[in-house]
Amino acid sequence: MAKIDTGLTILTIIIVIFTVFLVIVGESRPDAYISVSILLYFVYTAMDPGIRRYANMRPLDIGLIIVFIFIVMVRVLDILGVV
Amino acid sequence: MERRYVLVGLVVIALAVTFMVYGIVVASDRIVGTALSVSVIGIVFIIAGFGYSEPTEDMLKHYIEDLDAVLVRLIEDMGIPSKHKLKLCYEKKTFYFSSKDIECNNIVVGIGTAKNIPYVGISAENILKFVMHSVGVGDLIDKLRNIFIETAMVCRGISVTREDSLISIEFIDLTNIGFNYIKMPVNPLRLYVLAVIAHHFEQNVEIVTEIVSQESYKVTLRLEGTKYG
Repeated sequence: MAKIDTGLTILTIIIVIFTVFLVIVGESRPDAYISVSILLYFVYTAMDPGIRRYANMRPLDIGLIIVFIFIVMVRVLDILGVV
Repeated sequence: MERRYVLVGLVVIALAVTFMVYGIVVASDRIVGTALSVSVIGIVFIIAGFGYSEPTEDMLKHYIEDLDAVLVRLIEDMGIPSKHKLKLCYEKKTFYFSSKDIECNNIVVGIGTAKNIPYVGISAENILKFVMHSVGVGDLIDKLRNIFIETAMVCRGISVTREDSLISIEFIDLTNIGFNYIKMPVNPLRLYVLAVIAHHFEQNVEIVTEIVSQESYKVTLRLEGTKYG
């Protein structure tokens, strides 16, 4: 199995485990699920750069960072009572 | 590009969309959240599939550049002008650069002269083997798309016109990779064009004209001699 296959499989398993965990603890905010998945993607690809070595993930990195910043911004504004 | 990752990604995204629709219908935020998590996995697979390239490709890219420089020097030292003739002798599986036309029977791999015309011959055996395994069977346009769009990603569109023995191939909307290739003096792109055409028609092929515009690269080739194979 190519190294990228292993990397993608492990990343999938990690995201699935954490998603199941969030469901079990009763998390009901959809943005929390996507934020955790995005964080797991960045943490995993930083620890195991196998995926990045084979594929150009920069467009995805930029896209996910934008989504993550948007989610955090909305949450902060929500807490401040702006939205 | 690695199609299987793209395919897996699309399946996962379809699954996520189904989950999401179901979550919205039953008004369950947990299901919508799960669908969003799954969609991240799908997107990662799709991007990994589209951006996939073997690590050795990067190494080979630099090697090609250096090899190109050597070849240019060799061609110049042989007194072959920059507007040289480039031909692929199909039966001999050899490319040659020369100032004038030479019969394929007189060509060997390496440097030499045939009837006082200097030439540089390069083996095309591996390129032809690669083309044969990569393009499969089908129309010429499908073969060209397979090699230049799906495998090498040098352009986003290809058009082919044929007039007797002349074939014009236009590479439309070149990518950065394509531009880098056509900037090189020997231009590996045209070696592969020759190989695909020679493989398809099983004939000797030579380059007649090349036109480079802002977004496209048009090359006209002439089929020559008897059909082999």
